Amino acid sequence: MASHLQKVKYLAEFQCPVSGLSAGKHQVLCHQSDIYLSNGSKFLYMYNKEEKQVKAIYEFPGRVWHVELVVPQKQLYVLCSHNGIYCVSMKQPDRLVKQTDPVTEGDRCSPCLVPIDSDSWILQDSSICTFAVVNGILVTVSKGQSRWRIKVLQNVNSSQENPKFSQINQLEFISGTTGNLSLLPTLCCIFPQGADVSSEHADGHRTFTVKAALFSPLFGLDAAMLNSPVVLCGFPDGQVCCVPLKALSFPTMHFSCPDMKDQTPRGMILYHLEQSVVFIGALRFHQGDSETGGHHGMIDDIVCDCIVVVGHQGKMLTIKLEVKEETQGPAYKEHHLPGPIACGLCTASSVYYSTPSDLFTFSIAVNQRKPDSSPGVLPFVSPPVSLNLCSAVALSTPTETSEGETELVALSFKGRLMVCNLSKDTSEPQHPRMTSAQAGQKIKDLLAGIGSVSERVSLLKNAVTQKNRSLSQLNQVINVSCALLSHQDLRQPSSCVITAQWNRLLTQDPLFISCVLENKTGYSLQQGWTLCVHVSSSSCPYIADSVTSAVEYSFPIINLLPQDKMEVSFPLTHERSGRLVLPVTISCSLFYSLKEILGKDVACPWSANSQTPQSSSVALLEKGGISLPLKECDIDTLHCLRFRRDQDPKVPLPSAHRSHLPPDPVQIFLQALLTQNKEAEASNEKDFQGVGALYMRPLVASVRVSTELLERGLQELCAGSNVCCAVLQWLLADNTEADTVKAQNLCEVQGTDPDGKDVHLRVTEVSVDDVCPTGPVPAVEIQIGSPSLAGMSGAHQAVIRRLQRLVSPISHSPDLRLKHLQQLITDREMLLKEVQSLRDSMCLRKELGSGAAAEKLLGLYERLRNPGLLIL
Amino acid sequence: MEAPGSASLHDSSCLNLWTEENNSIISRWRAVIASRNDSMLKPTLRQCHRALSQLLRKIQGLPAAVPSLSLELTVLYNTLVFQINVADGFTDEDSREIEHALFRVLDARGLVRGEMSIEELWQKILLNTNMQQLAPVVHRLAGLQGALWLAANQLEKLKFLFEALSGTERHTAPSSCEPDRDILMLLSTWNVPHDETNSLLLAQTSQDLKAILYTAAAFLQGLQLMEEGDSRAAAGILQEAVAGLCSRRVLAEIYTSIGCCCQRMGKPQMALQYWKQALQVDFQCLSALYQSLVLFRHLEKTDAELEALSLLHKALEGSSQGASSTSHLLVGVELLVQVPSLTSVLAVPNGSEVKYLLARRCLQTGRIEEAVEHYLDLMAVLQEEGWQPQEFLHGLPRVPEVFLEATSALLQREQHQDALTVSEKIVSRIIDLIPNRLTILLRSDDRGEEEQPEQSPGVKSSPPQLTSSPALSHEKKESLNWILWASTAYLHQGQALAHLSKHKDAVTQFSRCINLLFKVQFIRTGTASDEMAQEGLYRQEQVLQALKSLALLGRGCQFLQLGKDKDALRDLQLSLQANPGHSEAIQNLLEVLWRLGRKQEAAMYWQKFQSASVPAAAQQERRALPLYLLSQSKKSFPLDEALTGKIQDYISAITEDVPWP
Repeated sequence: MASHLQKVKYLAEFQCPVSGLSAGKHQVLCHQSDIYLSNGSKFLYMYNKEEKQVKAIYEFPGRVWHVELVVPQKQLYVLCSHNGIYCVSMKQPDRLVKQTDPVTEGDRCSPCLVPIDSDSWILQDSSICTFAVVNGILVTVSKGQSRWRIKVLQNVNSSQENPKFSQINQLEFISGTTGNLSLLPTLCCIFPQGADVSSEHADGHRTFTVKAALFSPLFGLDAAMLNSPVVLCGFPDGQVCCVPLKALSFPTMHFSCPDMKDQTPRGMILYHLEQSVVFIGALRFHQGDSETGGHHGMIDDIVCDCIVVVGHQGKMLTIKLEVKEETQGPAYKEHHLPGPIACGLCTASSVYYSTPSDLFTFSIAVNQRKPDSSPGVLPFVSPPVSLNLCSAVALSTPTETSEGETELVALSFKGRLMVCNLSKDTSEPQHPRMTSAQAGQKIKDLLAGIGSVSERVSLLKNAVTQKNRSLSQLNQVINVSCALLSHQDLRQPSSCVITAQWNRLLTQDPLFISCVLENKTGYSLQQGWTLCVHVSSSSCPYIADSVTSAVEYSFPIINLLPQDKMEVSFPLTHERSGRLVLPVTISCSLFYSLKEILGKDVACPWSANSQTPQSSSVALLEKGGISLPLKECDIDTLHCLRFRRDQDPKVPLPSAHRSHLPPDPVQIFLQALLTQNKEAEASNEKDFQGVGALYMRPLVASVRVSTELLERGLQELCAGSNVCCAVLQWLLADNTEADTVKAQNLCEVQGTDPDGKDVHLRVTEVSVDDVCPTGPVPAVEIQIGSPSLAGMSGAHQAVIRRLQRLVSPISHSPDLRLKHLQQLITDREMLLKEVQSLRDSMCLRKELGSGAAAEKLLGLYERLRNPGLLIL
Repeated sequence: MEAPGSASLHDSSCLNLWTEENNSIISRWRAVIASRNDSMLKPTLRQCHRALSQLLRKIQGLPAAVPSLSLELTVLYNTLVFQINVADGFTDEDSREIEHALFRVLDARGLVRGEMSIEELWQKILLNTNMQQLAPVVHRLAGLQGALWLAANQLEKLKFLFEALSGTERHTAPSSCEPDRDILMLLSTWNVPHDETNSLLLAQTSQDLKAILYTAAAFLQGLQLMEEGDSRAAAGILQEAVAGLCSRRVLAEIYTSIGCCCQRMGKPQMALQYWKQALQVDFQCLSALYQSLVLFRHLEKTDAELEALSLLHKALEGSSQGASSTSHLLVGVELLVQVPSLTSVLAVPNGSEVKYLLARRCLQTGRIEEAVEHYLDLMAVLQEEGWQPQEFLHGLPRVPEVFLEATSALLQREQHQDALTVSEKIVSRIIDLIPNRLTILLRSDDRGEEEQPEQSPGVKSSPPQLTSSPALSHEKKESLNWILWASTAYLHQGQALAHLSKHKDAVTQFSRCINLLFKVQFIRTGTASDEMAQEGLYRQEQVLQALKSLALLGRGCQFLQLGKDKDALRDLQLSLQANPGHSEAIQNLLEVLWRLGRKQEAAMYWQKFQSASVPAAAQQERRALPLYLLSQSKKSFPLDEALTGKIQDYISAITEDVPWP
């Protein structure tokens, strides 16, 4: 097996459609140092190998389908689709072009564009598919409706410059339907042995000389005797036919039915390949004694003895001269090549064909082996050699260079022109034998290389996927943030409703806070978002060892779809003491941690310890994330009041949870006493209040608010009912337990605060005298009573806070009697003085004991609170 | 040019503009015609056509209106006339345009148009009495429509149209004893209104159109009748056509056709007269010449035939075939009459074929010198142009046969060296192809040929078997041909060498010939019932036998010259076996026998020969032989007087011994 070493040089790149060049319509023709190239567009390029640039571009009115060089007259015949054949001179175009392009930069002049117009039109026929020029005779193949027409035309003008063709013969063939019909027919000219081909352009892959013993049986003795060339035509439907140019189509018996009206005779089909024909050629099989394999000698001199027809799917037909013992004649054999074959050419000694993946060649073996008679095997040629040149769609005739190499010019699928130099190894084919160890090592190296490469690839792939994922997540986060932030001033895109609820358990009822997060944006909140609830309570001065504490709960959001709600609830307890310290501030926010996205090694520029002021309306990168505040709300006593269902004092209320506290031993003792007394059955309910409730009179605080203010603030609530009920309802608006109360229009309720103390609320209408000069001011008095100081103060604080929120600064202040005000102030001042004196005495440790001081303070407190504040 | 009656000088109404444009185009055309500038004709034709069709499109872009109807129809008429000329015939588009125009006429009149066929359209328009001022235009258009239908051979429609034109009803005319003449009658009575002398120029006048139609109708009908076989009627109608308006070429064609009719009627002299007239009218009408020489051959007037052949050849060689007819008429008869039957009448062989006919005729009639000249010219032409005889010429031989005839002619003229050269050419091409053995079964049934196993071993797929005769495969036929040709070539070579007195070489060639001939074996099986189908094969067999006899005879004579009497005797006997009654063979046989001293046998043969009459079959056989062999067999060998005298003496001597009873 001869090895082909090749060098490939890329010369130029030409335009081609995005899908690449299609088969069948491209050509590369070499003439001395000029390369003519057509890539199926309207242009014909002329590239000069010495100057290494495109010298001329010819522009035609239609797409160029076929180009032929007519060397004796130095002309190019070009077939334009649906137009006809044009004749272009091969002379340098800058002498022809009327407007000369300016020559720039010395040698590197830009290629000149030569438009071709109808002056060069030598044959007008819009149905021609392909043509060939043989000895001055033009053979054209046209496609009719269901038939192919081959016309033989002769130049009747004496001058070669302006040929005018008239038809001398016409043959018809019925076209079939198999095969790839978008390919063009191919033509090949066969000369009999002894014919004079010197005048013919030795375009080595179009004209061949064939031995007489093969020629005459195939094409007729008449053609052989007249030295008439025969044109073989391969059609896209697989038929191969022959047209002698100077003799009758062989055999001379007429095929056409005698009753057919049309005069055109039918031609003879040589063979039916059943697939589109790509190229036809001839090979010289039997070598003479002086020849060795290779491209020695002029291609003209080689007389072939085998005609080769190659189809698109790889079927190859050889018509070989077979010498049998009695006679010799043509023998037809089919072989199979790996297809599909895009293009190819056949010189007398070798065949080149190109598949989409490779370019193969095979040539006649130097030493002939005994022919193998099994079908499908190519017995007489060496196996096809791969030239490692992929996707060539057009090849030119191989030529011999001065160094003895074979040079092949090819056009690739993507429009690149390349020159391939094959140096034939003419010595006895020897492979450097590898030892098995070397081979094994090489294989190992290759495998390792493959492994490492694949590993890298997978790593890179992972990294890329991860980055993609992070980007998409980030994108989503930003979208959500923008959505939430953009509506800050208007309405809340995501609402968060915080309520306090009492949960019923067996022995204790814990107070739960529930936050309902509703996603009103268009995005779904996916993994990575958390709902952070920050619970903080300020220190309560009347409860010992209470400190400001804050608890943070975070609930991860799995997937909150738009319009969905998510409810989280948590108990409201004080960790250490187990006591509920009200009021409690609850703030909800959405948090997205960027650590997940950005990875561990991203240093977050903002940390929790930074000095940047925190404003609630700006998203922050806090602890490496984005936090979006949702809602903040206070939970106070009024939220947590619990009421009897029907205000029946007989039904015991469930106890508040006091799990952490050990019960007071004194309380237990006293309770035990009481239970012995049967009279205390009726007053069971008071047990739960603690003994102190029996013996202590209830503390009362009162707040008076002018009706006017209330009405203004509570417009919708005051509409239906009277003011007192409205006010009560408003006070208990956020209390989930107060439904029954709200249903009945009550002005007075009694409830239990989370610590278990009774709280009594009463709203009445009063009129405040002596405040305004105009008269008594109608006001609403809210009375808060509770046996426990803590309960009362908590409720009082809640009421005051609500009133603060409700009351807006009024434009006009009512006329007030200064006298009354002064009276109020002096009263309060007196109280203040008393408190101060008491403080002083406490500091000086006078005889007043703590109990007396406490009682005195309590009394002062009572006086402060009742009558209490007056809000006008 | 202004419309008559228009007062203003600058009246630029559409009608005037269009009229002017139309006139300018037509005058341009007329100017070119007048200048007789042939090269400008075709481009000007195309330009005028393009301009007119653009004008027509402009006019037809507006809705049809009565004032513009006549202009529109005239422009349409002009356009169609040019179009027909440019396209070299009538196309579907022309009829569509006419139909479209008719619809527009109806629209302009406000008449309802439904789904009407073209005949109904015409009828409606023509019978509408409001159309009087449109009459000339409509008639012209009708003329074109008639031309269209005539060219498409739709004579019924044509008849109907012209009946409508002349206003007669459709009834069987009592005077139509000749139904074929109806159309001509209608055409001649068609009263074409005069073209108005207004400013609208016409591409072709109505009178011309009518005349053309008449001639074309007559011609076409005549051809049709000729094809159908009614030559008398055809001749009659064609006479009418002669009187019509047509170009010289067409007139010559008509005369040629009449001549053909006369020939078919069996009146050769009249036919010759007509053909002569055709040639007088147009000397380019070569078909007349060809027909006449065919007739001469038929009448066996060899001199006339040869003269005609040489004239024909000169004419073909000389002027260019396709002389453009510069007729001033745009719509001529040529465009209307484009039928295959005319093509067959006018078929003329090309140059090489005529040359061959000439050469062959010379050879057949014995004018050897001219024959040789012609054959040599012919062979030179064949090498250049090839040999592709047309189908209508029957009996033209294949290329090797032409060469063989040439060789035979050379031999007869005693140019032996040349004969050797030519034969060598043949032999060199064929000799490699000949199989070693060829067996041909002559069967009576249709089963066809069986492949002999030794004929084609090992060929896996054979080329498609295309046989026109079921008896023998194509390959075999061709192989048989090759053998016959090659052996004839050898025979000729042998004869040439014999005449050159190269006896030994002659013997070699003769031997080769004989060897080739013996490769063929005809085997007869079955009954000889279906002989007609295998006529060709029988003929080949006879040729084979003739060749054998000639070759053996030749070799025998050479042996005689070389003094190898025994071989000579054997060969001559075999030759007589193949072809009994051949005088030359007998003569030589007698000589051999006499030399060998077998006088009794010589006498026997002599008596047999004397008494045997030349059977008619031998004559027939001779005629069945191909031309290149005929010359050999034709010559009646002059008997050697001396020898015959000796034999007679001997016979008389023998019989003298026997006393009379």
